[in-house]
Amino acid sequence: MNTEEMKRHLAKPIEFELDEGSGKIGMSPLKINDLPELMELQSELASSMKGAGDDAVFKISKEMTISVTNLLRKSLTAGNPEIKEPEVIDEFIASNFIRLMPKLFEVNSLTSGRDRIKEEKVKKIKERLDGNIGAGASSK
Amino acid sequence: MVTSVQELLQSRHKEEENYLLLLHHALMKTYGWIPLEEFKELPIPTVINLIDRINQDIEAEKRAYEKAKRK
Repeated sequence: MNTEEMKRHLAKPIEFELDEGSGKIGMSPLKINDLPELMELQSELASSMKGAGDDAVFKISKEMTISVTNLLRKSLTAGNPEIKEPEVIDEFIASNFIRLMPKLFEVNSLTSGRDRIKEEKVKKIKERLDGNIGAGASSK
Repeated sequence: MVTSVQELLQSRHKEEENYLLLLHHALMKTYGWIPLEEFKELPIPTVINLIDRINQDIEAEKRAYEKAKRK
């Protein structure tokens, strides 16, 4: 388990920078009470997705935007207790919505550590196979 | 059959409650009594990892049982 995973496990804020040198932002994992909203959001996102991998395109509805904003607000408020003005958090979310959304799913990953290891192994095997296929095709 | 938005929202709310109750029940079965208010405060990654741990234990128990049965 690395430091980030341990922080998530203990509900400690994970710090990141949106741009290099722009200052660190804290984001805390959500509480289990927010799980139904997060899961609903993930399933809506998955069903609205077109394409795969880097070419995937999402259609975000108004309801989804409200839901993401609500969850981001909770996560950022808990991760940055020194910010007392809720409107600052809201403005920050509004101006960085697209960049903050993946972070929300990263911090509140619904994949267990064991599954993540499995996924990484499968990904590595797939990359190796793709490499071999690519090398085979070029040698022909 | 769901006939109105109100009913749809109520059924969805019930589903969410059931889902959380199942998670709460699974954790209490393994770790003992957890007050509901404390459970609601647990971080999502903690619960996901604990449930995964419980599943691993069940799988290990099943394997041990199958092994013992074969002897």
